[in-house]
Amino acid sequence: MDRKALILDGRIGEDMVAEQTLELAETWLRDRNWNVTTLRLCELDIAPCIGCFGCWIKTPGECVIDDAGREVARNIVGSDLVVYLTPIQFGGYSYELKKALDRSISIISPFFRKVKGEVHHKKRYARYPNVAALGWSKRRVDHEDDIFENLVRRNAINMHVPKTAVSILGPEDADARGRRIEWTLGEVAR
Amino acid sequence: MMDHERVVLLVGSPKGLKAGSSVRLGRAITDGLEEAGWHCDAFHLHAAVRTEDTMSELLASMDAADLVVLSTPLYVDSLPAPVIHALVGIAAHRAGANDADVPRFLSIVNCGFVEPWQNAGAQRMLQQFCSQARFESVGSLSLGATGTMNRKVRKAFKLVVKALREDILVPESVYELMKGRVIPRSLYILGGNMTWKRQAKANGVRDQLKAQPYKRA
Repeated sequence: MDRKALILDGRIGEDMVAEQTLELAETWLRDRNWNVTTLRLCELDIAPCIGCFGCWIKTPGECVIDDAGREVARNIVGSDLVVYLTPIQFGGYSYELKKALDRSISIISPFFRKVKGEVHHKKRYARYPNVAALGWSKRRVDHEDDIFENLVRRNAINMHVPKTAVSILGPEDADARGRRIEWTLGEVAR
Repeated sequence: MMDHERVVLLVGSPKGLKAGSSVRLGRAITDGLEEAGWHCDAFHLHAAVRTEDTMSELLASMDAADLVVLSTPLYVDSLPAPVIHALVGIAAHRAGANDADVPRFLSIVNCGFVEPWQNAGAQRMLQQFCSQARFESVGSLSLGATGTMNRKVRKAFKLVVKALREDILVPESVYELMKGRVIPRSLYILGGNMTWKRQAKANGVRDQLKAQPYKRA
């Protein structure tokens, strides 16, 4: 079976942690026969979402902006696993990763449904990929881990992610970081 | 006139300063302050982050501000990408600020779901921003239903303006007034789904609303 993994590399400029994390993640996945596609988002032409909802009511399922943002959405739907690599900014994703995710709402339906007492969106597709989120920051900040984990969980509800795994990579040595990355991928790369 | 007399309004919606819920909600606060003699500068964050010149203009205005009001929509459970981009730039700029220089910061987050509490994650990110960029967070207002205001919410906004004018904390009663749904959930789902169909029909794509252009073979 051809299992596809998409790595969304949300680094901002030069970043040694991003480089090491990407290499470890790609190697781990390829060693287990995953077909890996990596998108370094800061090098792609992706305009910010303009909030027009055209991807729901003008060209349903596809963003009205014809740039690499469409390819990100297409790749997400076509994958079994999506890996977020991101420096943590105020507890959330980097603006490069967020720009790509903002442009990916085309993959869900505009129609509302009720989930555990809240309004959320229905599916557009029958299946969606698992998500592994690997975040890091230069210095640990109180509550940042919790905000980041909660964000991934909330995204999973709206984006219909079957299973998520989250790790925040601290200033530990490369071996410890490697073990955390392996554990995170192992949780969702089935 | 109070000491605090300069307010900067940051609008985090791509719709900018002329239309949309974010600018309407932000202006509901700053208009009330301008009536009391405050000076207001307004910036559209999507435009501000495009060039160094526009970002420098924003930062210079913020350096002179006593109060910053950020009004933004919720995008994918978080802040829109250009808002994060701008906040990173502001935090970097503020790293060199004088210790005594701690402007006040008020945030307003609105989402397209009917439950205002779905903004909680974005509000926590803004608390992180205030901590890192050394702003004094004086309050964070949360609205569902794309910023629809009912009688209670309008009253809450008036109380916020009064508190800002008097340089006191936003009272807890504001959050009590704003905590519930402004529209019943079932009605919101029904009305929302009808609106999508009507808009798609106007665009000639009513029968394509469930299209799957990226479906796997």
